[in-house]
Amino acid sequence: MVTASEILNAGILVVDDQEANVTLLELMLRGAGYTSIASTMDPHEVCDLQRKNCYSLILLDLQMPGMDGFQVMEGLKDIEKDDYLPVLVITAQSDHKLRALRAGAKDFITKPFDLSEVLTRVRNMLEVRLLHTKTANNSKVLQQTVARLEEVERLKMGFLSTVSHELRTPLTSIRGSLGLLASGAMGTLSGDVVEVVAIAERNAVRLMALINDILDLERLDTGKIELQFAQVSAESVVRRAIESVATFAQEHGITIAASEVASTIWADADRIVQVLVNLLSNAVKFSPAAGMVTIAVQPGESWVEFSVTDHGRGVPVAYRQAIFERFRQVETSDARDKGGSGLGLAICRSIIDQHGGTIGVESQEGEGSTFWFQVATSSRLLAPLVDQPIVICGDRRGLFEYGIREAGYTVIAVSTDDAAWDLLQRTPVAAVLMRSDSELIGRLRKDPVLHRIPAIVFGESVVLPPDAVSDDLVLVLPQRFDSRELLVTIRDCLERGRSAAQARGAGTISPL
Amino acid sequence: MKVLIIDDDADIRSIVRLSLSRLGGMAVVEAASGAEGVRKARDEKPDVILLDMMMPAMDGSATLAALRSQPATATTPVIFLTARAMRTEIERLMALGATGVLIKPFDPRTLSMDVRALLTRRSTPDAPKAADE
Repeated sequence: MVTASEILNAGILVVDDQEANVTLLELMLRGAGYTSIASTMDPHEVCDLQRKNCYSLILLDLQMPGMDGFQVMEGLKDIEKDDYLPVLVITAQSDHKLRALRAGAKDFITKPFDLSEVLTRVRNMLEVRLLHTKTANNSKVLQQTVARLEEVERLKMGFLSTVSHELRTPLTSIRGSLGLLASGAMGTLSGDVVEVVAIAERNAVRLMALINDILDLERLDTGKIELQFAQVSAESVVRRAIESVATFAQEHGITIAASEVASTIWADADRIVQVLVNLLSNAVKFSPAAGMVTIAVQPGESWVEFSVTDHGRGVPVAYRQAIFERFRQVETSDARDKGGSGLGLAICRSIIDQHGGTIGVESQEGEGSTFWFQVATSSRLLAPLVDQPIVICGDRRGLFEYGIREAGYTVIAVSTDDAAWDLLQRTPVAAVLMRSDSELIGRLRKDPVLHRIPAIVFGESVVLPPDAVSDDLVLVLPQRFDSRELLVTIRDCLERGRSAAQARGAGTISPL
Repeated sequence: MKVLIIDDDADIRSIVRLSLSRLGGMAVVEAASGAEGVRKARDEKPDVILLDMMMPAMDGSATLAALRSQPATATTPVIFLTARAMRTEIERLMALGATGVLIKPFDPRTLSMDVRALLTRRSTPDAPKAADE
């Protein structure tokens, strides 16, 4: 925004070979409150003055002896690097006006001067000029910021891979040395020494695991790890995960029980095994002595749910979201007492997110926890169903927009009901998403044609107008939802839209 | 069994030497660079070569290529030592003709067994796999 004082303090140059005109214009401008006015009667001086003072506005007479206004403007074009000539021409000849505008002038004043016309045009031009300058500066600052952020990101990634190597190499030596000592290869150690060496080695291993987890999470979050999706059997990932933690479980005296269910998922098998190993290790760590950990697979039509149940101390309600964040353990002493980096569940969530799935925990304090996650049964579920765009209407639509675009759909985002309404009249769309308090849903449902567009409203509930047509094309998404629910609802919505179109005999939406 | 360890880090060479000789009963020859390793491989004729991936000047891949192009070492089994590699990286090393990949940090107590296991697996038709930590 440009303030009134910014306009009144902007630099103005008046150029006219007639002293009377210069005086008159200066008087008019000063009378209106302008403070920074310069003038010249020599057109040859204009370019130098502008170079030195960068006036926000030049009032330029077109007809001057020796050098006319058009020539002055040509000269100014070399100075104004942003291609913007802040020139308001003064002319008595109407045929000059168009020519001057074409030459780059922004506006004109006609002689003889009309006070209110002069002041209005001057104020408008100054406002535009100042806005133009601000915008240009802002975008320059923005570009610089973006470039700096990109540079920071590059440095960060470079730093991480350096850290990876530079920390691992000495740690490899430390761990190796301690391992050799502990093995007895360097001579038999006394009881106390064995204990101290074991502490040192255990912590070297922990430090290494922490470095690995940090790097893993960083690579996952920056997309450096590309998931290798395939149709894989749920049993095989469960079997591999159990094999990986078998020794660890035995050491803790914990039994792992698995249910046998035939099912396949669309996933990166190694990564799902990683998630299960993480959940199983946690379950083992937090199980009471001689406890049992159960791993179960619950196949559904679209999603398969894996769950790992322990009978440990449980997760307090306040932590059920937080434990999936980095370095958030229920007890700060857990990292020390139970081992682990505090990053395991964050890694799990990152992996499941990248599968378009959901992860969570259910727990009874003192009785145990069930960590569960769901992944899709087939790629079909994650692939976009239609080519036509999905329209999202309303403010605070960022979350939807991101999730839906990520799933491969084309998204058009509009801010207001009117803009959406306008768009729907002109463009064929696959579906519309809006808030439940939006008026758009009522208008759509009453429209003889547009009621055929399937719609999703998010919020607590939706009230349709009494004369609404076919409400089976309206789906409700709860206020709190996750990416999986969003995508399932969209699929459902699109499928209903397609069935309705087929029922009408309008086979315009192509089959899967 | 004679093992050649090629690694630019002297401490790691020592740990590998102590682990393989004291716990695995193997003879160990050391080389501090790829070039030295290629020369020692020719002269010492080891049964297996442990090769560090990240080395200045001549890295593990270049060293392997040099070993393969020299008749005396064209078929000597080579096991890479690498800091926790991605699956794609392991596949790349195997495609270069490695016999196996061992991930750093290795456990000195089991290193000799891991090496023997990779050499045995090599003679079976199964594609060799990386030994985990």
